[in-house]
Amino acid sequence: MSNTYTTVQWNRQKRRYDKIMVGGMALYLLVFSLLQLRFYPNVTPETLIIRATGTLAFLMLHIILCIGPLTRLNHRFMPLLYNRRHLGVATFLVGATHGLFNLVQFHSLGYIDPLVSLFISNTHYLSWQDFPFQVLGFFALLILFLMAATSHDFWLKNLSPATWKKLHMLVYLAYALLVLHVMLGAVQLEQSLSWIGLTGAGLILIVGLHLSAATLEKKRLLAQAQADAILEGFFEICQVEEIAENRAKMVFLNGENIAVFKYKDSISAVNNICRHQHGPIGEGKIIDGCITCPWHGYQYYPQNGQSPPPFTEKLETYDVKVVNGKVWVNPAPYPAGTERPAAIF
Amino acid sequence: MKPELRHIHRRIWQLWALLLPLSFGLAVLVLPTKVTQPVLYDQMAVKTSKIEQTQETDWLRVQIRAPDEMMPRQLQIVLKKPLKVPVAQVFWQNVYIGRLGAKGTHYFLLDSSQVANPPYHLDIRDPINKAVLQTITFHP
Repeated sequence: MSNTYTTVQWNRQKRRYDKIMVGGMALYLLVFSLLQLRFYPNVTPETLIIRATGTLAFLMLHIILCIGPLTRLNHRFMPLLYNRRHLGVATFLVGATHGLFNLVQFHSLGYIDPLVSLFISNTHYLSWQDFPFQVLGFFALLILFLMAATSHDFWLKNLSPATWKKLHMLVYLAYALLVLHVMLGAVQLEQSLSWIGLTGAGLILIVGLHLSAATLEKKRLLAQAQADAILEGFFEICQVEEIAENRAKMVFLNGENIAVFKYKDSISAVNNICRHQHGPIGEGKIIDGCITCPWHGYQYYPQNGQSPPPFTEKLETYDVKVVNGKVWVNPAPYPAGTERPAAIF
Repeated sequence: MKPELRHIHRRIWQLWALLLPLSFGLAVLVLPTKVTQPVLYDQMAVKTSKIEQTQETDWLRVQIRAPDEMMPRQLQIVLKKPLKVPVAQVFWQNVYIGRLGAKGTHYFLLDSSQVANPPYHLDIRDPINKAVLQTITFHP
């Protein structure tokens, strides 16, 4: 990391965020430990630490995964997003404590390396009930480590925002691994209805929130694209499926007679009047990549309205776009023979 | 987030919405039968007086105690040393009857069906590492 970066750019909000986070974590650990000692008086300190840190890390991951969709659904949750990276790093540290204690308690008493033991002590990889669930937790922790290690702005800038974001989307895989880790691990051992209920409720919450936010955002983007199209002078014509392959739909818009052709997953629009004897171009079809007039076979390229050489006839062209499976056309004509990009669907 | 990343994000959660509840349901389906019999620790147990059989290893002593007017037949397991594994499950005739905890004495009640077909096999298993820690056979 170069000297142009500081470890943490502290400010009043970040300090407040972190104080609340650490306070919440401490409170959880205290309450969880007291409850464990009340209901499981014979629990050993190691087991208590494993249980407390495991459940806390899983809970924190739920909170992290809720923040993104919540802010998209309601901007009032935006302050939670502000310092989410610190919450992510804290989650990794708690998860690492859980992993470390597990490794020591479950795998360090044998003659083989604890990490090797983790992978080979239980080899029922093809069994659902006896699956080595600790391996799932290991890979989830590895992802959380990767995210915590690259959480700084230095990595954001040097990896590029797109790559960084793709890398950090691995958290969804980590979440899936941890759900299986819990369901095939603690739940199978304890057979506790509470754990099943809580994990199931968390699953419904996380998946529900992400799907709701994604659906809402898709609707917003669609409405925005349609509003933009209207502002730019486009008119909605029809669904893409309403036009047969290599055929056209003919429309009159603002006095323009337009033929909208569909071919090879593309849509292009040209003037509907053939330059030869004013035949209806739109009643023809695309043959050998050219719009072919049904009257006398005059041909034009759909993208630019030009006849293939050595012919020199040209048609006016129009802008086309496809939004959510619907064809939109701007009736403002371009000079005959002007190349316009086809709309890909 | 760029539109293509947003699209990937949506697809991931649509996939998770199918796969995770399915995995969750399968995990619930393969849950071992819940053991309703509590593990009794020494201070809580009401042990019967007559010992029918005893077997001993370096780390545990196992006794079958005869029933009396108050209590059914009992399996008594005394852990002489702390367990080296955090979870140890007790299987009687290949049926899971409970878990061992801290060092000390554990009692499990055996009903008549569990002592109907001798010889009796007792396994103590480590469910995490899928290992059998001890096997003991009792002949009547």
